[in-house]
Order: sequence, then structure tokens, then C-alpha cells
Amino acid sequence: MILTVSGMQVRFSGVAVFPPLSFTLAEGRTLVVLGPNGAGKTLLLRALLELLPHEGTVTWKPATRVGYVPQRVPLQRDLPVSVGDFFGFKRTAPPGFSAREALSQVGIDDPAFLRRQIGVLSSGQFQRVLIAWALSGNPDALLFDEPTAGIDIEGERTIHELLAGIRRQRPISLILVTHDLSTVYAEADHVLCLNRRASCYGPPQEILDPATLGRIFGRETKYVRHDHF
Amino acid sequence: MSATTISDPDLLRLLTAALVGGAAGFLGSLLISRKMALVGDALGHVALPGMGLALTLGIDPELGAFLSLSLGIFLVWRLGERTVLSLETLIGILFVSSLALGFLLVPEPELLESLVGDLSRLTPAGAAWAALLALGLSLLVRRIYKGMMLLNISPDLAAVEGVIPGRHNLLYLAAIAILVAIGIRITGSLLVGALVILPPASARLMCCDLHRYARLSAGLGVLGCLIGVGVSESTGFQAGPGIILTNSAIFALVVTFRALRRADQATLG
Repeated sequence: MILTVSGMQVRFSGVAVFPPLSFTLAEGRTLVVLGPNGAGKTLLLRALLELLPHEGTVTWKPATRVGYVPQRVPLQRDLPVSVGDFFGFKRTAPPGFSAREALSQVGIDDPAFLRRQIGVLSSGQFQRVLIAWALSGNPDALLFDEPTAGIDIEGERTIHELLAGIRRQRPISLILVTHDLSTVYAEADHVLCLNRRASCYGPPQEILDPATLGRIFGRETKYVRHDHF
Repeated sequence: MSATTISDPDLLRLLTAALVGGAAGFLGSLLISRKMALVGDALGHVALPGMGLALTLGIDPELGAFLSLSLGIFLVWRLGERTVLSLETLIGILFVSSLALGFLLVPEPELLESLVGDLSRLTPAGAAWAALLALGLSLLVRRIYKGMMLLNISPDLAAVEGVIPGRHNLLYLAAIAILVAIGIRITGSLLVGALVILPPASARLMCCDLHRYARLSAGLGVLGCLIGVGVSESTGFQAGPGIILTNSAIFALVVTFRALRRADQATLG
């Protein structure tokens, strides 16, 4: 296992955000974290990155490099930072890494793109830059927080194709946070569903039934499955 | 010494002003990109109570300014870590409180000098110290510059890259506080904030990538001080307002040049 989590809980002002969570992530596999807005999914990711204090244990396999794509980084339009500058901020990139190669992995091949200011990029372009940025650290595991939030349907399709492409190229373990059920069926080997009172964990075909979804999303949930690919 | 002759101590003061101006431009380039342009201005006033106490006790006002600023920065940093209030809000509170306290504590004869500075009273030893500190601060901030800029974009991404927000913010605020303390002698507490705002604002209008922006901010800070001190030497005006007005003139020129260029492009298009 590349990640083993046992009895993890995050508290704010003494109140537990979600029930104690225990789950694992195998190498090269994808875990989708599913839950409604406000369920604490982003907090879970931040705790996995040790950016938040938590109870329980989070154990990454030794020497695991973890990449992170946060949810909707609000762009300051007037920041004097080009895409090239942004890649220059990457401290965990391996020696000899190339921003152009990293961008190429997310389908951006124009060398002039490195000179563009990040403040003028569209949400979709910046999301791709963030993914390239995370990949440039040559990670063993990638944590994506709502990778398609704020992106139009075409951009969403591109991001999903990207994720599939990355998985075909290298055996990266993925944790995807979403409230979008279609992502679960398209991507997940395992799913961790949670809200503030309940959680479930297992292969999606085994645990995702209308009753469980109703418990997690707080209502009867109907879902018509369609694949992205 | 006539107003138009430059002696060795004058040259030392000129070089010091240029180095402090350059450091202020460089450090300020992070402030305006963090939308905290008025922090330098506010900190200038935070120095006033310390200067007032120092003058009353007959000790070096710069030392008083430094101690006052250190206490202020510590309070802002500590409250920023412990409360939900933003840095700007906390500095704003400190600013008005310090200003009120400063007016009560600074003896009236020294009040004007505290507010607008007096470069001619900077001793050679004081000038040398200020120059060395300005250089040291620039080197320190250069080390944390990229981390600070990444914090601007996303604190979480910065944390994943090993940037510790609390430590970076404290280091940066301390550097700004020391710079403000030494800048007060040159421009006074009322105007010192302009040293960190104007050069980066002009630089931001002139270029776009980070390296050129940072270098240009420092360069314009140096240029503004050199011209400002030169003008004040030849006219007999005080250096502080001269430096700030020079930087304002550079900013106005840049704005005008940009407007003309845009008009040209619109005509050609």
C-alpha cells in the first residue's frame, strides 16, 4: 500500500468534521472521495498532506512523492507572475525537470505559453497548469481536489482525458475528490464516501447503492451512469 | 558647505539613500503584489511612539523606532496566527493607535523632523549601518521571495512545497519593519511608506515577468532616491519630500507613456 489511514479525524473547535476514517490506497490505483458540499472532503486531503492537525494515523510508504492539485485557486489578475515563473517556484521538482515537458503532458505544447501571465489564463488553462505543476515533481501519488470544478463541459472532458492519459503512461496512485457521481464510475477503483455523520469505503460496484447514496447525500439519489470515454 | 557642493559625508548619505531606496523598492514589490501596499505606510506611523519615547529619554530615535516597530510586528504576527482577522486589519488597528500615541509622545519641536525626516542629520556611521542593513535585508528577502510569491498564489501549494507561512510572514514583516526604521531618517515616518509603494507600482506598469519586475522595482527605488537627493541638494529642499515627489513623477511619466502608447496602438489598429 502506498497510503494507509487509520482512525483519522479532523476537528474544528472540538467538533469532529467527519466520523473516524480508515482506508488504504494501493499503488497505481484510484480512490475517489465522494460526498456533498461541506462534507469535509478538502479538509481530508489537507490532513493527508499534513497541512492540518488530525487524530489517527496517516502513513505514506517511505519516500513517496505526493503531488497536489488544490480546488479552484483564486487567481489574482494583476500578479506579475508568468507561467514560467510559476514553475520556478517548484521546490520539489527533480534535477533537470523541464516546465515545457510538464506542460506538454497536459497538452500545452506552445513554448510561448511559458511567457504568459498566470493572471490572464482561463480557469481551464490554469487547472491544466496546476496539474502540470503537480506532475513536474514526478509524484508517486497525486491528490486532486475537485479537478473539474468551475470548468465548462469541454474543459471537464479534457481534464478527464488527461487523468486517463496520465494513468496509462505511469503507475501513479490517485486520490480524486468530487461530488460528481459520474467521476466515481469513470475513475474509481475504490470509493470513500463521507458526510458529517457517516462514511463508507469499498469498490464502487459493491457499496454504491441508492440507500448508501441517500445516506451520504441526505436524500434519495437517482443516478444514470454514463462513461466519459 | 554650499547647497550645490557634495562632500564625502554627503556622498555617503546619497549612496545610503540610494541603497535604502533600492531595498525599499525590492521589498515593496512583494507588498503591492500581496495587495498590502499600505503596510509600509502604516508601519511608518507605528514607529512614532518609540521615536517619541526615545526623544523624551534622550536616546537615539532610530533605536526607539526599531523597538516600537518590533513590538508592533510581533503583535500583528501573533494576533494574525491566533485570530481570524487579516493582516491588513491588524496593521490598520495598530496604525491608528500608534499615530494617536505618537502625537502625544513626540515632543513638538522634533515632530516635523519625525514626520518628514532629515537626511542631512544622518551621521557617517549611521549612514554606513543603514546601507549595510539595506543590503542585508535585500539578500534575506531574496531568499524567501519565491516562497512569498507562491504564498500569494496558494498557501496550500506553498505548504506542500515546504514553505512555512508563519515563518515566511514573520521574516518578511521583520524585514519591512527594519527597513521602515532606517528609511524614517531619510523620508520621515509620514512618507516612508511611499518608498515601498511607488517604485513597484511603476515597475508593475512597465513589465510583466517576476524577475524584471523585482529588478525594476529595486532600480526605480535607487533612481528615485538619487534624483530626489540631487534635487534637494541643489534646491535646499528637504530630501524626504524630494525623493517621494521624484518617485511620484516617475510613476506619472510611466502612466502617461503607457497611455500614449495605447493611443498609438489604437490609431495603428
